[in-house]
Amino acid sequence: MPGWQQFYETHKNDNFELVSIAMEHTGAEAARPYVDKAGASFPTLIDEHSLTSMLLGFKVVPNGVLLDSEGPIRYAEYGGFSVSKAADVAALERFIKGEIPGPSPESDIPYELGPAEQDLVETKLRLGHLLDSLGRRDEAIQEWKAALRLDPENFIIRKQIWAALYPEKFHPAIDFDWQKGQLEQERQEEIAAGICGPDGCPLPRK
Amino acid sequence: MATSSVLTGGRVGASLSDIRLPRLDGGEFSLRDLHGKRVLLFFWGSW
Repeated sequence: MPGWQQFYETHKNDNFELVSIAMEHTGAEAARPYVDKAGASFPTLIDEHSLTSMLLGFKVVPNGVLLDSEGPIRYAEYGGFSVSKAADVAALERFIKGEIPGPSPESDIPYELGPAEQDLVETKLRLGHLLDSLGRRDEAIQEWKAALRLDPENFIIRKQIWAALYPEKFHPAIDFDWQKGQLEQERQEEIAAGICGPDGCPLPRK
Repeated sequence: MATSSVLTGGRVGASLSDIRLPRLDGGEFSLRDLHGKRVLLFFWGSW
């Protein structure tokens, strides 16, 4: 985030806007410390309900998407997009100068859901949010888990479930070691249940 | 926000209808308000 602020300072007068979108299921307060610490003067948006991950189809962060605000996507990198990666910054600088940003990196997306499955995932996510907003968290989590079974490589969904079930692992500090162990354990369960294979989670049918 | 199939929505060449979300500093953001600026959408999570 501090690196992006520095980049923004350099380019903010070049007909360029940086928009940060924080995928925070627990709300704005989770993002605020990072934005404040960086002194970020570009806008940060809070996507509590995974609207953008459903719209664009990403399953991980950090991502960079370049576009003219009224035009199509010109460049996209899903997973690992970073201000400290020279290739990412170079593509962005070409784009800001009006040049072709170059080929987008291959996205490491293991499968694509069919339209009906995608609709089902989104419906379950939305139903979960509705139940959660009514204080029916246990039922909400069941819907989110059902969505994750359909889309097992979707870390946006998986972390949302974790944040609901294990808030103490996310606040006041984020326990990344715990996440590693938890993921390993859930993977073993998913392999046992036939949702995933030992090398990942190809969907059983397409 | 419109429903769209997974990868199609975020592919190079795809057009976004709009992105409307609350801003951390208050108010609502719309991509449409940027009027032709070149934009980086940077997606991240604290987690």
